[in-house]
Amino acid sequence: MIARLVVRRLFFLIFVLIGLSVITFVLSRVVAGDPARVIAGPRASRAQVERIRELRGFDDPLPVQYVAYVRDLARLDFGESAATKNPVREDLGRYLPATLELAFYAFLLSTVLGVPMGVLSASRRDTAVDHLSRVVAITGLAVPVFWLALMAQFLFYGKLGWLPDGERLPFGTDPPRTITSLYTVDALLTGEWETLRIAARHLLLPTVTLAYGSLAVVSRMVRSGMLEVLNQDYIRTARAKGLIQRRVIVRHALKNALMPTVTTLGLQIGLLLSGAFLVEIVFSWPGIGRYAVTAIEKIDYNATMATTLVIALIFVGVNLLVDILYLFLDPRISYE
Amino acid sequence: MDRNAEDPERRGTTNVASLFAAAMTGRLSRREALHAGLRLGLATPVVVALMAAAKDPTASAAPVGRPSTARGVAQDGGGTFTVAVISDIDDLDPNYAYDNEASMVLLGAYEMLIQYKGAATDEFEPMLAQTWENNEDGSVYTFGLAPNATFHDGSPCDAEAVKAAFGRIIALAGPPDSAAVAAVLTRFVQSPDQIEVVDPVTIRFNLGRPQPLFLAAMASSYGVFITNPRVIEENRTEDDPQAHLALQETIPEGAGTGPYRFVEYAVGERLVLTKYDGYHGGWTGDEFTDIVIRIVPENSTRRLLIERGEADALTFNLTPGDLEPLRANPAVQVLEYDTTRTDWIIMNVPRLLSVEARRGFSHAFPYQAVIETAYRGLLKRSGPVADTIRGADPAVFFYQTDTAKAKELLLAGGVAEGETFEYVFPAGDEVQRTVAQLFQANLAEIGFGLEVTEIEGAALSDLVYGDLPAEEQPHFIGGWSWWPDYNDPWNQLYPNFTIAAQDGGGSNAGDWENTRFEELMTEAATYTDEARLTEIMAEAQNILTEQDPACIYLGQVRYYTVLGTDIQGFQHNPLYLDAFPFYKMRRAAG
Repeated sequence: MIARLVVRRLFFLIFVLIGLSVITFVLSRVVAGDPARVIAGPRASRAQVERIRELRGFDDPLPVQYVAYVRDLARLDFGESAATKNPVREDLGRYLPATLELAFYAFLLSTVLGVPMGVLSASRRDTAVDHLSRVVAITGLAVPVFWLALMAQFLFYGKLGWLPDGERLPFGTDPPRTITSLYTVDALLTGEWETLRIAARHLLLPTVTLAYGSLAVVSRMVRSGMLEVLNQDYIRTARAKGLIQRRVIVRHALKNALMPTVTTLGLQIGLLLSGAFLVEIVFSWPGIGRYAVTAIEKIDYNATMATTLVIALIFVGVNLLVDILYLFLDPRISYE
Repeated sequence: MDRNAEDPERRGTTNVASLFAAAMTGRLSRREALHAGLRLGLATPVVVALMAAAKDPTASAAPVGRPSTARGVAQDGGGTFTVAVISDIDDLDPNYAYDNEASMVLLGAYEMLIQYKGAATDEFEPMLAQTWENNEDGSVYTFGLAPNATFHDGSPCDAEAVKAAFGRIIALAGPPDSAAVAAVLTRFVQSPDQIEVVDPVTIRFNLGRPQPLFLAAMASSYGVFITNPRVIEENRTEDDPQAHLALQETIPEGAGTGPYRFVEYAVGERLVLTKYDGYHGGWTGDEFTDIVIRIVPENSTRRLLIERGEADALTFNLTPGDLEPLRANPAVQVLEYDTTRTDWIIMNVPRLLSVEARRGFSHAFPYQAVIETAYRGLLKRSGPVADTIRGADPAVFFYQTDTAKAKELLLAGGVAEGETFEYVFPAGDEVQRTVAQLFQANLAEIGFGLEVTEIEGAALSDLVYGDLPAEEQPHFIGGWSWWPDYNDPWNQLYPNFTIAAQDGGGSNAGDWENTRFEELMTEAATYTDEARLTEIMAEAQNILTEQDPACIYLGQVRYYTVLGTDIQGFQHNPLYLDAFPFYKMRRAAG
């Protein structure tokens, strides 16, 4: 059943990608501004701008540009970035791991802390634990990630000096030997302990900042799911049978309360990736978010479209995983 | 007492929480935390978190201030000089790039023949050339090159190489590259035949007619850098005969003769230069060994970096609100100085109907409030030419804020009572946002509306340089700045106010034109007599202001450079905006 589900989803993915490519292509072209002028710079001559327009095919009719774009895309060639002058594929290989590393730890943190927080909050409803959890959740949801990042940086770097201001690694520290391009993982795998320590310190602030909002959502979802389940008859029955509270919560309530949470977690991946855009700016984090912001500012068509497609692909992939996970969590579900 | 009870690792605990507690309180070193974590089979993220939580035995606990150990320290001279900038460098080709950030980097790795001396705009000092002289009428200039000058690959930078480098600039001026910046040279030298190699260390320029500005142009930080002909030869292709594509994204090994050579450019992170041992100027040992240009897009992060001593310098890239506390911070030095940059608001001449109306808007503008509130003192009144440029008229006409007179002129000029005007400015520019709001308030006071819109830089460039008809353009384009490539008022005015600068030929986006002004510009382009230039320019500036205002002139901008208190040797020059004399700078001992 899983294989069929995956095949079907991959088939539909083709249409999603076509739709996405059309939308990103059209949107990037209707944005005001002449990319050739941006590339040439404000003091460039008219001939200089024309030369760039011609070299990059900006003067071709839009359908011609789109066909050329899709043709290159089919070969996984995203073209060259006008901002970095590198092939976009090369840029993605450089910047995507930084964002994935950040989002991965943020996701993990929000899940590892958010789920127990939600469970505790529900099982000790209206106690101090619940109130505290609510405060954490509300601030996490209400405070914009950009502001939170600035405040965290100001406090932990600017005032206390406990953590670095940002960057993946400071000047003078060589990255670990590349295996996964995730510095912490590579440093661990290659035994470069000092690099691991430095990379971990640099990850801490951006990760916590990025995870905070997500943690709030996860904990609230788990809490509401748990509260609903805890009122079910089968929970009362389990308690009446004399099962200890921990077993009732973990074995009987949590598993059933997790269904909506799994959906939320899937969506959180997308939110973490988009949140990374802002966090990366504040923490000078050389990830795909910052790359995309620069691309948008500089009307860098190829880079903008490539980052949009890649993030959309990740989003679609994660949602597919969520669907598969449903099958394990609830055997009653069928995609037939 | 059981010692193991205190030591979670020795106790062989499986309690992750206590492991964390031990790490955070410093009872576990990072190495111990790592081993404990791995032994417990913890996942990578947990081990990583544990490592980050554990105490760093070498970390400084200093909470605030500028810890002297935070930066690359030069106890025996040398060390690292770190500059925080906002964005990446778009183009590193020294004969093609045309912006300040690029020039800042290029001035470390490449050299011109000469440079402006200190803060002076009419005196020069050696760079690649040690001596220079000209004939009586200023039509022939001879430069004596540093005899020991070499490119970073060790090959000699002799007169032949310099001639070839200038030949490249002349070639770049034409198709296919059409580099605008090449005009800094080609205004004076149009053919390599005008360049004569006298001997290996002497090069002569035969300009054909008196050119009093040639030295000024040769000291420009735009376009006239010397590149290694070997590097160009090796990288040229049929489609790219001047190897521009190779030089725009990096500084190839051996390309320049400057004191620092290129090491790496991690786009979005940093660009690094390191000392070139064979530099012809020699080394005393006190100079910086490495120059790190850190790309830090967030304003507050740049401020924190300089406050905590992890950046040594930044120039004119903070909001006024962030600069204010730094001025009062004894841990940094904030140097403020005049530049050649002037700011103005472009008026759409066809849409604003008449000279009276443009004069009316000029009177409606709140000059003093803008200086105090928006620029916080980093602006002083001027016309279109800053007083740091030759030919600036000390008696240039200034409009005074007078809303009653403004209303009278606007109505007389054909503007309907209660009419609303469109005003655009660069998005995210706090200073320009305040300028727009203050102008809006003044116009509202006399019953006119100002619809203010922030637009992205790319769209703004499109408005200014595109060929949209005036009717489709806003009435005002705010936040426009200009400064000349070298000390020459023609170079300041021509690209902004001539007919040739309309419709994409320059930044005359307001389609302003004036016949007498055109005549004056033609004469100024080929002037030979300084007194006559002053006369021409006084008239030109009066046309642009009192007689037929093209813009609302805010004034000339004062820049600031923030440096660590231990940084010495910085010298600003009004023409080298955002630049640092890296080679002359030092970190104070101690």
